[in-house]
Amino acid sequence: MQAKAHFAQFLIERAFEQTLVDNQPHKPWSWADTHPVAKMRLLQTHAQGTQALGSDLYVLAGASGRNLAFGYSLMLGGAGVGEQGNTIIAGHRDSHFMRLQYVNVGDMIELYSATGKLQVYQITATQVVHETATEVLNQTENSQLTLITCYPFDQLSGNAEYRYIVEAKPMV
Amino acid sequence: MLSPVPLTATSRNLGVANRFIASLEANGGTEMAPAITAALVDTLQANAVNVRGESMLRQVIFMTDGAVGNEQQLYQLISDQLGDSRLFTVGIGSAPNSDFMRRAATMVRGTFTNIGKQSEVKDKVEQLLTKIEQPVLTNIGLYYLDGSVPDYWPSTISDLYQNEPLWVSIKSPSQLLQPIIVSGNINGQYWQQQLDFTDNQPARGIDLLWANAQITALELYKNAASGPRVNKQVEALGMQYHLVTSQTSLVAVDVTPVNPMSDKTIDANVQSHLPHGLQVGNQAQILPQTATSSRLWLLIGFSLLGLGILHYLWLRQRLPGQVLVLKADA
Repeated sequence: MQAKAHFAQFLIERAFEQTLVDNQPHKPWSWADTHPVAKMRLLQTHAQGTQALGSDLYVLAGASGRNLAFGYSLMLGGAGVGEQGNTIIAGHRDSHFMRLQYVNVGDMIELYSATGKLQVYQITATQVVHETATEVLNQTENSQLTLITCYPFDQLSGNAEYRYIVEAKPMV
Repeated sequence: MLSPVPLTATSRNLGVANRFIASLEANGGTEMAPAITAALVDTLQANAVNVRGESMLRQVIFMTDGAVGNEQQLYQLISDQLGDSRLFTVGIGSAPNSDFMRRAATMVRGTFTNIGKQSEVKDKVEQLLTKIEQPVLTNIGLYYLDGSVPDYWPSTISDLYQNEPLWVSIKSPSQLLQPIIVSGNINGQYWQQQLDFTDNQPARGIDLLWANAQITALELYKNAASGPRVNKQVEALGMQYHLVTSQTSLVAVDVTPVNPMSDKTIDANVQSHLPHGLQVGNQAQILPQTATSSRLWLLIGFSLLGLGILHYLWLRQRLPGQVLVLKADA
């Protein structure tokens, strides 16, 4: 699964590049039932300035277990990328979102939509909630980015009961 | 009609009566008035004497399996014409108007017998006839020593038959319990008995017997005109004596305090738990499952791979220790 998560990003990147060109959704591979909708980059703030945390990763539409194995997934119940409302992105803690354990409040998140538009978010809060705490999925009046992964990060087995929530507000 | 006058119960007359009954053809409708009138035609001779000169008690049995109409007219007829006779009503099946039958019988010190099924007719009628053959005490009355009449219910006391108790409820102030005289006729002879209450113990529930008897009497004489008034009286009695009547019923009220600190309540949402064993397959119910056991599987996989390599090397006798041991043997 680690290998799948790593190499799928190359196919997804290719599909996203095509989407940026013609603004049409492209499947990363012919039998896929999803398409990339955004590119996300985490920026860590240091005293010396900002530095990218890991490589750029792509966001797929629909947070199903299958999509999560390949990359970040946008929960379709929330707002779309760049739209008004609560944009919710989920990822696996043992692959792409393992890096979430290193982010701090104040770090930046760059989100490129499928039209190439850039939106920068700043992390305002991190919290750990139970998996039934679906109120983090509630829609908000203002734009907000919510990242979800499982918690704790160093657990080996897959049946995580808690979720690590990162909330970020857009920077104007 | 079999005969306009009473006949002696000889075997010949019984045969005539049986033949008359066998020839009857039912053609619907219950006309009670002509039957009552015919049976009571010699009311003036009601206090008739038999051949031996003893006064007789006349008993009239009215038996029907049909509904009875024009009740008010019949009540009038019965009270006017029956005089000192006794009327026993027998209703067979569900058609007879049992309210009317009971009231008509009670008015003139008779009884009402309701027979539900055809198969019970023989037994019930035999019981009734056996009973009314043996009137012990008739024309029962109650009065105090000074001649005044107490307030007693039921207001018309039925005749007393063999092996039956006399059952009357009397209401009087407890300080002024006077002896009561019960009077009646036994075989035409005057009879009386004085009852003293001095050594009686008070008992619970006697007032309820009196109230029940009064309610029964009130409802017996209820008609369209007196209906609302009787309903009010019954309601008042039911409330006063705590009885279940046609106007009152008992309602259970749970007064156990449910929350003794209801003025200090705290509003909070309690997490709703799922039924035991229910698997939530819907993604909307919980946050997406963002963890897999990939690292655990990787750990197990690499461990097994390492073990396999060690096993292979052991089989090939390439492990460092094995080589040393073999060399030592050689």
